[in-house]
Amino acid sequence: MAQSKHTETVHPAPAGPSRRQLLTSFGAGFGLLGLAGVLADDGMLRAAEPAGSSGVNLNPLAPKKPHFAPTAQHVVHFFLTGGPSQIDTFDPKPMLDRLHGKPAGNLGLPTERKTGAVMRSPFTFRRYGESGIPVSDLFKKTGEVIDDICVVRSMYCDVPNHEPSILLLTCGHNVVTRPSWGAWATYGLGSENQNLPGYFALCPNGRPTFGARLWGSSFLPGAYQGTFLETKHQDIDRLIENVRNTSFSSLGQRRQLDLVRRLNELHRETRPADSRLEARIQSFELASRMQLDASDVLDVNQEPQHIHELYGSGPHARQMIIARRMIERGVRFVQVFTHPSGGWDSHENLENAHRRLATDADQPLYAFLTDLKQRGLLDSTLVIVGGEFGRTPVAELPKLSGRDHNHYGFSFLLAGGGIRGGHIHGATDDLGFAAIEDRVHYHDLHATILHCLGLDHQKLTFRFAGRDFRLTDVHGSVVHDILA
Amino acid sequence: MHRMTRVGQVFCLILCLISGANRQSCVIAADDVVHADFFERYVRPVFVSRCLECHGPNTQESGLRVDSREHLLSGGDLGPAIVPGDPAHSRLVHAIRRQDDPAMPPDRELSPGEILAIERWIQMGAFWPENETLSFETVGATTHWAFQPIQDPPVPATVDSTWLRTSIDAYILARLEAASVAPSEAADRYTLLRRLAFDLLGMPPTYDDVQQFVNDPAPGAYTSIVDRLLASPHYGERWGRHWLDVARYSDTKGFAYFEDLNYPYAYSYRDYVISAFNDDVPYDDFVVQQIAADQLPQDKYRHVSAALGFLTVGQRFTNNLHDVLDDRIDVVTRGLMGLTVACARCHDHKYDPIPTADYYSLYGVFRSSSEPLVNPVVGDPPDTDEFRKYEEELHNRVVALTRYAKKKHVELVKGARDRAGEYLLAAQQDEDSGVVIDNFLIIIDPGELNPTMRLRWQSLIRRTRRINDPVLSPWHTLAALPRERFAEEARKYSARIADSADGVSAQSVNPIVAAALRKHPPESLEDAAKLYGDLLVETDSMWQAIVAESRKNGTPEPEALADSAWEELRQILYAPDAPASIPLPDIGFNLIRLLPDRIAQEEVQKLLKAVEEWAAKGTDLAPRAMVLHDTRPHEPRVFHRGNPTQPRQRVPRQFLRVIAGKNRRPFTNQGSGRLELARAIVSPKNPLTARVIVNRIWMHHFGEPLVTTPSDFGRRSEPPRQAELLDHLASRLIEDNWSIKKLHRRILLSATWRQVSRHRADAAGVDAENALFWRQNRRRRGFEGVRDSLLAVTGTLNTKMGGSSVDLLIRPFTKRRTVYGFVNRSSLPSLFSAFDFPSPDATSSGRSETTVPQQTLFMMNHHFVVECAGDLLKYADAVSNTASGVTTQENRIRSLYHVVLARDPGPEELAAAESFFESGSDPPPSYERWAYGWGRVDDNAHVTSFTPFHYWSGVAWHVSAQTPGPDSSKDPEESTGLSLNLTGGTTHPTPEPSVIRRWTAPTNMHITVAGKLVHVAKMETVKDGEKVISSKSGDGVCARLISDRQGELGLWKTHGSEIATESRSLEVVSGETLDFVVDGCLDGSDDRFDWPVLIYAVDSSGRREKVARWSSRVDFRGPQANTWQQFAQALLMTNEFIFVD
Repeated sequence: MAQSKHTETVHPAPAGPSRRQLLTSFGAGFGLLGLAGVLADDGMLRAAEPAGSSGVNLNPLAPKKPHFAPTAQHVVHFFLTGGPSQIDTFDPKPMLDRLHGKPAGNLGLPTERKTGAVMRSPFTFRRYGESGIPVSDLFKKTGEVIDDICVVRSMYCDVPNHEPSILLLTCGHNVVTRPSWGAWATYGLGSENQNLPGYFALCPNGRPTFGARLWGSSFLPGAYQGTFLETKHQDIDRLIENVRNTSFSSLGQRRQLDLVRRLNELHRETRPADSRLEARIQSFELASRMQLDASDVLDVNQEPQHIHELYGSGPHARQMIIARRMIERGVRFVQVFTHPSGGWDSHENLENAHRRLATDADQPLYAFLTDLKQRGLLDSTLVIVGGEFGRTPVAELPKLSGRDHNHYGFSFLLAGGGIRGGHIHGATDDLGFAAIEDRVHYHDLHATILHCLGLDHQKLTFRFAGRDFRLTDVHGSVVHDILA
Repeated sequence: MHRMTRVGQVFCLILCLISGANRQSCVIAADDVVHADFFERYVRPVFVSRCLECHGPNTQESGLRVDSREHLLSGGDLGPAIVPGDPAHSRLVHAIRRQDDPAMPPDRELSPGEILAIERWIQMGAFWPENETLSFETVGATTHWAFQPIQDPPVPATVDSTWLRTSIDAYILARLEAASVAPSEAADRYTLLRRLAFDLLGMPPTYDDVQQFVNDPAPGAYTSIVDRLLASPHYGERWGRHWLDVARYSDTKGFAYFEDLNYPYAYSYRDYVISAFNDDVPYDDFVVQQIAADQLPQDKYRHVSAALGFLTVGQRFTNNLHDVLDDRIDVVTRGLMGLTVACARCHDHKYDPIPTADYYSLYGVFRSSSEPLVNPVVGDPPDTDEFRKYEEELHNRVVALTRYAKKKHVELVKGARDRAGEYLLAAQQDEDSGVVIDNFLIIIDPGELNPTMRLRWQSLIRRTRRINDPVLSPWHTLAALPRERFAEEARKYSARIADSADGVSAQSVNPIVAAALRKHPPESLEDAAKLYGDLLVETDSMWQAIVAESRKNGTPEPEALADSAWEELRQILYAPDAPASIPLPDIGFNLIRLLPDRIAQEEVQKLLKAVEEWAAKGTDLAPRAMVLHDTRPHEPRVFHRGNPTQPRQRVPRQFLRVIAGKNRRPFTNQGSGRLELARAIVSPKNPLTARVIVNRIWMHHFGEPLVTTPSDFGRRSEPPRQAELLDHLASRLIEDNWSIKKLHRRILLSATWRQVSRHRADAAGVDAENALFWRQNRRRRGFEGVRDSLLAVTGTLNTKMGGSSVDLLIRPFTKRRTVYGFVNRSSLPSLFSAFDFPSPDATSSGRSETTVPQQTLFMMNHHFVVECAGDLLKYADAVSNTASGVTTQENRIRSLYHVVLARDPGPEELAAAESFFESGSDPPPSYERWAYGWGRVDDNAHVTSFTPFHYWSGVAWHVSAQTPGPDSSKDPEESTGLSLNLTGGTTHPTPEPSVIRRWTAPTNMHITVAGKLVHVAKMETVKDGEKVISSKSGDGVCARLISDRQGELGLWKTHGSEIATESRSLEVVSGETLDFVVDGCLDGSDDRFDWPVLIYAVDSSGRREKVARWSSRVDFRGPQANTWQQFAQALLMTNEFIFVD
C-alpha cells in the first residue's frame, strides 16, 4: 500500500471557523467529515458553497472521503498520443484480409480525410494468457500480462479530429476548457501525500497539444491543477518549477525559513484566531518538504539495475518508472503522454511507424504493470492505456499505406484497481470500423474511472456559472461489465 | 417579522431535517412567513425542476398536475396526491420514496434532503402562496427578494449615535445592537493607510506616506487621504482588474483552428476599463458603452469604442457562433445582473423565472451583430505618413481576402443549385445512416459535394419530413420505400399521386413533380434524385432568365415566378432558409469550414494570415477597438433543447420578462436592440444591476460580499446578509448619478470600514462568520497584489500605463504592473492558477483563496522574487544612505523594515534578525569550487587568461546581457556569443577565445574525471549539381582538460556526435585549477555542446568512490545571494507583507 503521509494537516486556530469556512474546508482534517458528508448527500453542501466565493480553503489537498468504497486509489493514463490503430493491436479482423484492396462500400462513416480500399493489418495476432485474448505482435510483451488487462474494443467518441478528441478525453468536453479528469479526481479525493502535488502530467520533448489545459483545473481551485514535467530533462529543477533555489545553499535557505517562521509567529501573537495565518506558516514547511520529496521521486537513478533492465531505456521507460515512484508515494493521478503531438498518428507508412512506436511503448507498459503487481500496487492503481481515437480499416489516399483517424470504434486497455482482467468488453463491426456492441463513450469511461475511485460521477459536482458542473456533464454511465 | 429571525427559523427547520430529530421537538410557532420561506427554498424548486415537465400545464401524466395546491389536493387518476398534515397517507410521498408504483421521478430519484423537505412541508400543512400557479416562467418572480424593486429604507435609529460616521454605520450598528454585539474600535492610522492603499491601489504605502499621515494634525486628514488615493491613476489599475475578472478578460481566443490565437488588440479594452474607473465614468454609462458603444453618437463612439471588448474578448469555441453568443449572453446577464440566463439555453431555467424563449430573445440581439474583419482605431487615427502607409497595406490585404471569399461563396451557392439532385440524394443518405457531421472538420477534394451544404440539405429533409411539403413529400415517400421493391412500389405510387381522381393527393403534391413522376416513374432513389435535380435546374434557368430580362429592361426585380407550381419549386432553391441561401460567413475559420477542400483552405489561410500578421504589427501605431457592428436584424427562434438544427417558435428580440414585467415591448428601434438592452439593464427600475455592482464593490472593500453569490442573485442565492443596507447603497448609487467613486467614499469614510480586523471572542460567540460586520476582515493580497507589492517596495515598479500586454514570466522580468500581463486563456501559466487567478473562460464571481505550497515555492525560489530581494537591498541602502549615512547592522535592518513594512522593527524582531545574522556559517558547499568564464589558451596549452562571466540569464552565464547576434562583434573580447549552462554551453564563432568551466581543488587529493562531450551539429543542405545533400554544418567542437600545474590532461574533438572524456587518476594539490576548456575548432560557426563532467575522489588503490564528489551539473549555480539578500527576501515572505489587517 502506498505510503500515506497525511499527518501534516493544518490544525485550526482555537476559535471556531465560520460556517462557510466549515463547509469549504470539507474534509480538511477537521473531523467534520461526518457532518460534511450528510450535507453533501443532501445536496446542501453544494448549495452553501458557492463557486468562486472568497471562502477560505486551508488545505484543499487533504485526503477526503469518497462517496463509497473505492477499488482504486490512483490512476495512471498512458496516453498513446496520435491515435493507435485498434485493428493492428488489440482488435483483430480477419475480414480485412479477405477484403484487402477492395472498396469497403458506402459505410456512411465520413472521416477526416479521403480514404480508399480496405487495408489488412500487416501484423500477426496470437492468443495470450489463460484468457486467450488475441494481441498483435506489436504488443508481445503486454500480451504476457493480458490476464490482468481488460480490452475495451468498443470505445467511441464524437469527432475524427485530434484536438477536440484530446480535450474530450482529458477534460470531458470537445471545445471549451473544463477541469481535467485528474483535477476532478484530486478535487474529489485530495492527495495522500502532502509533500508532493497530487496530480502530475508527464511528456517528453515539450508540452502536448493544448498544453496546460489537459491537466488544468479550469474553474476548480488552482490547487487541483496537474504539475507538468517535461521528462526529457533529467534535472530536478528543470523538471518542476521553483523547486530549488539556485541562489542559496539549502542550509542558508533553512536558516532563512526559520527566520520567516519566527517573524510570522511574532506577527500571529497579536492576531489570534485567524487560521489562514497558520495555514500559510504551515505551507512553508510543506514547501520545503516538497523540495526534498520531489527531488526524490524523480531520481530514477535510485532504482536498482534490474528495474532499469525491466523497463528498458528511452523516455517512455523513464516516464513509467517515474510514474511508479509517484504512485508508490501516494500521488493520485498521473497522465503519461508518449509524444507532444504526432506520435501514433500513422497516416502513411503505418507498418513501420507503428512497429517503431510499439517497440518504444510495449516493454515499458509491460514492465509497469508487472512492477506494480510485484509491489502489490496494481490492486489499488487503475491503469488506462489509449490514444484520442483509433484508425480506419480503410487506407488513406493517396498513398494507401496508412490509416486515417477513426472515432467510431477503437480500443482501450484498462487494468488494475477494480478492473476485470483477461476480459474483452464490446465489439466493433466486421471491419473494425465502428463500435457496435456495448459501446463505451469517453463520458462512460470517465464515469467508470470515478466509480473505481469511489466517486459517483453524478454527485461529484462544482457550482460554477450558476450551475453544478461535473466531469461527465450530463452524460455517462458506469460500465459495470468491466469491473471485477 | 425581522428577516434574520425568519432565516434563523428556516435554518432551524433544516437542522431538524438533517438531524432527523423527533418531529414533536420540531414544532415551532411557525407563522406563514416561515412557511413561505420554506416553500420557496425547498419545495418549489423540487416541483419546478423535477415534476412540472410531466405534471404541469402542458402535460399531465396520469392526469396529475402539481402546479397548484388545488391540483395536488384533487390529484390525478390515482386519487389525491397529498393529504396536508399527513405525509404517511400522501400518495406523493409514496411515489417519491419509491414505495409504490409509480416511483417518481422516473429517471433519477430525489435526494434524501429533497424527500425530507416535501414530507416536512406536507406535515406542516402544505403551505401554498395565495392564488399562485407554479410555472417555469413565474417561479419566484413575485416573492424572491432580488426581483423586488430596490427600496430606499429609512436609516434605522440606533441607541449609540456617537459611533456613526456615514449612513452605512446606522444599518450596521442597528443590527449589532439588536444582537448585543459592540462594534470594534477604529484601527490606528498606520493600519488604516495600509488598508486604504491595499483597497484602492493594490500596493502598500511608503514609510514616508505613513509618517506624514500619522503625524497630520488636520481634522480632515483621513478624508483628504481617501480622496488623494481615489485620484491616483493606480486606482484604475486596481479596480480595473476587478472588473476584468467579471469581463473574463484574456489576450487569446482559446481553441480555434487555422487562425491567429491572439487578440493583439484586447489591451484596448483593458485600457478602456482602467481609464473608465480613473475617470469615474458613471456606472450606467460604463455598462451602456460596453454593450452598445457603436450605437452612441459617432463622436462619442470613436472614443469609447474599445468598451465593446466586454462582449468580444470572450473565448471563440472554434468559432461556433452559438457558443460565442452564449458566452456574451452569460457575461452580460451574470456579470451585470447576477442572473444565470445561460442556463435557459436548452430548457427553461430550473430555478429562476427565465424561460428558454427569453434566452433566445437575447440570442437574437447578439446574433444581429458581428465583428468587422479589421477593427477601427480608437479615437482619432494618427496623422502620420507611416500610419497612412500602414492602413493602405492593411486595406489591400483585406480586399484580397474578401475578394477570394466572395468568389468562393458565389461558387458554392451556384453549385448548391446546379447540383441540387446530388445534394438531395447525399443528404438523404446522411440522414439514413444517422451520421452527424456538423461539428467536425472534413477534408474533401475540389469538386466534391460540400459537407456544410449537405448538412443544410439534410436539415431541409428533416424540416419537411413531417409536414406535407408539396414538392418534397413524394421524395419522402420514395426515400422510405424498400430498396428491393423500389421500382414496383415507385410505379404504383407515381400512378396514384398523378391520378386526378385522388383529390387529396392531387392537391397536396406539386403538379409539376406529379407529372414528372407519372412520365418517368423512378427505378431507384438515384433516379428520383435526378428527376428532382433536373426539375430544379429547369426552374433555376427559368428564374435566371426573367431576372436577366428585368435587369435588361430596368424593371423592378421579380419576386416570384408567375406560375405557383414552379414558384413552389423555386422556393426549394431560393427561400430564405433554403440550403443554397447560405450567407457569406464571417471571415476566418467559418469560411474555412465552408470550403473544405485543401486548395481553397490553404488559400484562405494564406490570405487570412497576411491580414492577421499585418494587423498585429500595428499595435504600437494606434490602439484598435474590438467592436461589434449591427448587421441585418436576426429574427430569433427557440432552438429545441438548444439544438440549432431544430429551430422552433419565433420570439421577438426583447428584455427578460422577470425584469421587464408583463408590459414588456419588443426592441423596436432599427438595429440589433443592443442599445435598448443596455438601457434596460441600467434602468433604475431594474432591481438587479445596482444591487449587483454595489455587492461587488462591498466585497472588495470587506473581503466578504453582502450577497454570498455575487454573480447569482437568483432564487438559489442566499438572501443578503444586510438586505436594507444593500438597498440603501443601491439607491444612493443611483441617486449619486452612478458614481462609483462616491460609493467608495461612502464605504471608506464609514466607521464600519475603519474597524480593526482583530478577532473578539465575545462577538465571535454570537456571529462567528462576521455577517454583522462587527469588525473588518483581514485580507490577503492576491496574485496581482503580491507581485505589484514586490515591485513597489523594491523601488523598481515601472509606472507606465496602458499598451500591449507583456509576458510576466520571461526574462528579463518586466517591472510593469500585473494588470498589464499577458493573459493566455489557452494555456494559463500554472503560477497564475496557483495564486487563484480566475479562469478567464467565463465571467468570474470572485476569487477563491487557497493556500498551497506552490505559492510558497514561488516566494522561496522563483528568480523573480530572488531578483526582487536583491533590488530591495539596493533600494533600502539607497534610502537609508540619504537618511543617516551610518550603515550599522541595525540601521540596515531598520531601513529594510521601513521599505517593506513602512514601520520600525520591534525589539523581538531585531533580536530575531540579529540571531539570524549570528547563526553559524555553512560548510562550503560543493558548488563553491566552480567558476564560469572565458579565456585564451597559448600554444603550450596554458590558460593565459580567465575572465568570469558577468551576466546570469537565469539559466546560463554570458559575457553580457545583450543577446548574441550571428557575428556579433569583431572584437571577441566584447562578444556575447559565449555561454555556459547546466550541461554545456556555446562556443565562439572563431577558435579563440574559449569558454572555461573552472574547478579548484579544495585540498590535496587523488581524483579521476569522467564526462561525455556531445556536439549537436546543425544540418545544412548543399546543392551538388541536381542532387541535394544534407550534411552537418561546421567542424564541431574541441574540448580540453587543462591543469594550471600539470598542463594539458586531455583533448577531445567531436562533430555532431558524442565522445566519452575520461581522465587517468590525477593527483591534485589544494588550490590547483582544472579548466574544462571548449572552443569551436577552426570554422566560423558557433557550436552548442554538452559536456557534463563528474569529479570522483580516488582512494590509495586507485579505486574511485561510488558517487562523484563534484558534478558540473548538480553544482551549477547562478550568482549566490548573500546573507543580507536572504534577510531581505525573508521580509518579503512574511505574513505581514502578504496579509492586510
